[in-house]
Amino acid sequence: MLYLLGLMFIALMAWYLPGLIRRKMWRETAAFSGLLLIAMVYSFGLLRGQRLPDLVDVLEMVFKPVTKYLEQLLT
Amino acid sequence: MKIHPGTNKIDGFTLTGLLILLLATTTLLFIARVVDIVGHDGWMPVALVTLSAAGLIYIMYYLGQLFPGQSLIEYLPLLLGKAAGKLVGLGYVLFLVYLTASVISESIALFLGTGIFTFTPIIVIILLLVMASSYGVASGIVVIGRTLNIYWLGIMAVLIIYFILAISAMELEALLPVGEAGFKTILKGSMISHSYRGELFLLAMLLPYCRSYREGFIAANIANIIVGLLVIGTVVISVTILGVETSSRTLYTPFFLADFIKPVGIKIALTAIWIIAFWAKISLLQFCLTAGTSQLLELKQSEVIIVPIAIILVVFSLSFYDNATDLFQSIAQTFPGTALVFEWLIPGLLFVIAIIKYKLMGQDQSHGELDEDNYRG
Repeated sequence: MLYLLGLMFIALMAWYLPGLIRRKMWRETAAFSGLLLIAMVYSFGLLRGQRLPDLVDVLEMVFKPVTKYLEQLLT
Repeated sequence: MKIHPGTNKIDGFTLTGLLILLLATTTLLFIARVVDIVGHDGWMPVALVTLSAAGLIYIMYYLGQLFPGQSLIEYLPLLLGKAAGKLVGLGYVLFLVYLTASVISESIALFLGTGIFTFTPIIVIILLLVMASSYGVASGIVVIGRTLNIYWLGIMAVLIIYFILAISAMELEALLPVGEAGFKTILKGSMISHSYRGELFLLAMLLPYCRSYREGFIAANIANIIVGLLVIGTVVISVTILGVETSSRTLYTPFFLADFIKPVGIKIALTAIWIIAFWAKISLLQFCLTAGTSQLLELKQSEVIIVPIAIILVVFSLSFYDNATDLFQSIAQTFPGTALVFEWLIPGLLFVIAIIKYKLMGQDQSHGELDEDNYRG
């Protein structure tokens, strides 16, 4: 499964990157590569069963107290 | 991807349908928390939220008119300065990632929780859903809108038939005495409703795609009223048929209620409309996310980020929550606070800043962009 996923990412890079580089669209190349890197890290992490820190952890840390405060305020 | 609003316009009718499906898909399913807090007065927070959502719509309309043809992500730097504007824009993009991935997880929880696709692997459902929504995103808002034009009146018709069928089983005295919960409890109960209805902030991303801002404003208000009535109807039906205790513990209320309403076959109609509604909601959120990311990074070509964003959404919808219990617990504890900031506080602050900056101080807001008349053409 890991190999299949790796192949999928290689295929995506092979599909998009040459055209972007040929047209010198550096901003788009960076955006595509950055987003694909995030997708790769998290999908490999998910397949390997590793729990990586994600957005929900951050949001829970920041906004859980806000929700709690609001609830206390209205109780 | 047809991100630039130039020739890709939707009319008010389409926007009404899009917003109804955006708001109603999830809010109708999760009324239990409101009933749990407010009891038989559970319809009151919903009515209150409909009023405050009208205010949010006006704020988005006002800001949109100040910056014609630009979305929230694009005018944030003009209002807050480049660095702060980009930072808040990044916050919105991350919020949209959270929102979209959570809605995908909610759809899976619904499909499994109500016994639909029980034997289908979750990854297959998510992949099919995201592939369909990504196709919509790649085709543009007009295609998403036109697809839903075929469905949304049908969806409304099924819901109205469902409500009519429920009338015979209702015991209206369960709603008495009215207002027993008290104002503070009603306000507390409205927190979760405010979070769901606050998704109307996406109007700031969609208005540039509407034929005219006035039309968008009217469409959003109609959608807000219709959604308000649908949710009030669902709460009233739930409380008067199931009672407060059962209603406050029931997930996916309309589906649970369908077992008590004759003919029993109405449940399969509900299932069909919810699958379409989830596709609509996810497509719309994913469109706003992709457009927002493209605008934040000032990309000339947006097609290249559709697939990476789709993969991120698939992965996050699988990894954000361990199971349905974790999902609902996390949403109840985190979503109201997050929504308060991104859906209500920041738009409110932007409104105040815009009034001070452009009305009271008389600063020129032209910034070289098109005025609305030119932009419409």
